[in-house]
Amino acid sequence: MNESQQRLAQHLISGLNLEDITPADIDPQAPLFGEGLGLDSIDALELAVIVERQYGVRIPNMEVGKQAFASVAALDSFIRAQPPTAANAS
Amino acid sequence: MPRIAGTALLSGHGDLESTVTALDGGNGDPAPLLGDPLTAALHVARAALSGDSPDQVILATTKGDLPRWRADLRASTGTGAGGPAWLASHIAAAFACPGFAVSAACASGPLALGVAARGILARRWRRVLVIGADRIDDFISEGFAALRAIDPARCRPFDAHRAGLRLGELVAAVVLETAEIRDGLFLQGWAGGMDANHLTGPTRDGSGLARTLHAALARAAAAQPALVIAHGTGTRYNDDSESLAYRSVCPATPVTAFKGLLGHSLGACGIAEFALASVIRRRGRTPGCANLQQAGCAGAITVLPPGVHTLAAGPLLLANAGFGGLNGAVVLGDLPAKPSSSTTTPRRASWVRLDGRGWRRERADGSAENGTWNEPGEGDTLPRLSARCVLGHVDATWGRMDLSCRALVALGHLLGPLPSASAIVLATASGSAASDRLHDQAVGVGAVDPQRFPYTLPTTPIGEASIRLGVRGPGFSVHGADPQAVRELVYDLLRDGIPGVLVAWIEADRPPHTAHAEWWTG
Repeated sequence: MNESQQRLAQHLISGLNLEDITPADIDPQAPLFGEGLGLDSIDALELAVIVERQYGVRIPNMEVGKQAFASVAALDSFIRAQPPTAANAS
Repeated sequence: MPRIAGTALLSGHGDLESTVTALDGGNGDPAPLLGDPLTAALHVARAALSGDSPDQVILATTKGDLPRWRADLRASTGTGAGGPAWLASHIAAAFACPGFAVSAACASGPLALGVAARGILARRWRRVLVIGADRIDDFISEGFAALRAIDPARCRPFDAHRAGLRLGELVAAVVLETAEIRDGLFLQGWAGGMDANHLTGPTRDGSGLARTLHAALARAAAAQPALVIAHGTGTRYNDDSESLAYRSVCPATPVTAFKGLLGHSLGACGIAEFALASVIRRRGRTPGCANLQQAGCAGAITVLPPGVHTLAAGPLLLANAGFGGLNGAVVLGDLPAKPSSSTTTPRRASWVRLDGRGWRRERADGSAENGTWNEPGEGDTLPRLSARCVLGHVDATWGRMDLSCRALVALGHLLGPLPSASAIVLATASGSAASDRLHDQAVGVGAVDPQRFPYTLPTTPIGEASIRLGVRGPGFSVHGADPQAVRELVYDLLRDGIPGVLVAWIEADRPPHTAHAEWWTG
């Protein structure tokens, strides 16, 4: 896992309340939903909030979310592909 | 029996008659209801009773007097004022009879009606006042907005372009009584059931609700209803799932829904829709589905367009669905319900208690087992009950559960495996106070978490237990009833054909910090 994936995994863990899970437990290529990490659609809505709060990137709808949230690696690429805006957070 | 002795309603459109007139008029939006829920509830109660006295009050609600409950949460001395038990006891006090609240999220209405019906069939009560009341403020509206469930334009149930619900306050009352006469309208059938699938979304194929519809029609000894009064919230998933359920259970029956004009009144909606159904059945005409322009749902059903429609003879089927995958359905018709079985002898097979150090399980045969937590709590206070501790492995969706949810899942695991058709009954006064407090702090400051809001219901532990234990019978919580009164409801369920009931008493968030449960079979 590279550094930005590591940081994203940490945001997921604290934002989604992933109790007793560390970044090392998350395979960056594994699906976040269903088999894989085992998140559900309530977490998907929360994930959209996390991405907006932490990265200033808005997920307009859950169709976009479905693509972006495939895995930690996919979400990291999605965030880094967004044009930087003045409102972007850390 | 149970015969419908009276009905009343108060919405932003006026009393029961004025609300029917508004629905007949076709399209519109929810109108605000002024006043506190206790005053409004007493007003509709007196109108429905018309001078008679009830011997039991049952309140269908999700949160009771929510603004008062929130103020209580913020007070260091939190006493539970404003919550479901508080509101039920204050309504009952006005009629000098016992009262408690029954909750099943947005399906509270049909579950409360079922509790009333079984108590009447058991001859424990002669006249039950069932009240539906919920207060809606920014605690609720910001929560549904975070779940992206609110239509910014208007609520359009079953419409191809629907985009969510609208909230709307109302209070309603239904009086059910024992009756030797066969004249009038009756609560002819009732059923509850759980999806055991997802905390906020219904089963995509409608199979969860379909099972509950079948059970309610079977209880009513009714084949095909003349009309379905649907939950019809106007969200994409709810209406698709509901349409598939009606398509599979009663494909020829026309469907209407009232939340376009009335809005979603949460735990009150089932009682309001039942009061409206009694007027509709009596006059033989129904309002169509307000705000419908172009029907478009996954299941091919006949949705009645706005306007007034003549009804065929026969009973009406009403359904509601709530968070936790909790479903309920009732049948209103002109035949008394069949009596319950009197041959079932309820038997407490096993019971379990949690404390800060571990758990103790006992069985009717006198055997007992103990277990200790690998992460104990301080003194007798329950520990955090991690997934590793309860399930033996980590779980990605465990961390969002408050201690009440964890305790109920743990109790279920220790008593299980439970048959799929079992019921879950949860008695609690503190309910979801831990999650409520966190959500309350986020409201008004733009910090509401979509992940938190579904846990701000006292019935969410039931939904979590249903999903994690694969239990699909009726599920509801009880607030303000003593342990023996709760056990009476368990006996009623067993005599009504439910094979087993997990009943739990949980006060995880406030003293006495206890959690114990019993497993009953027929």
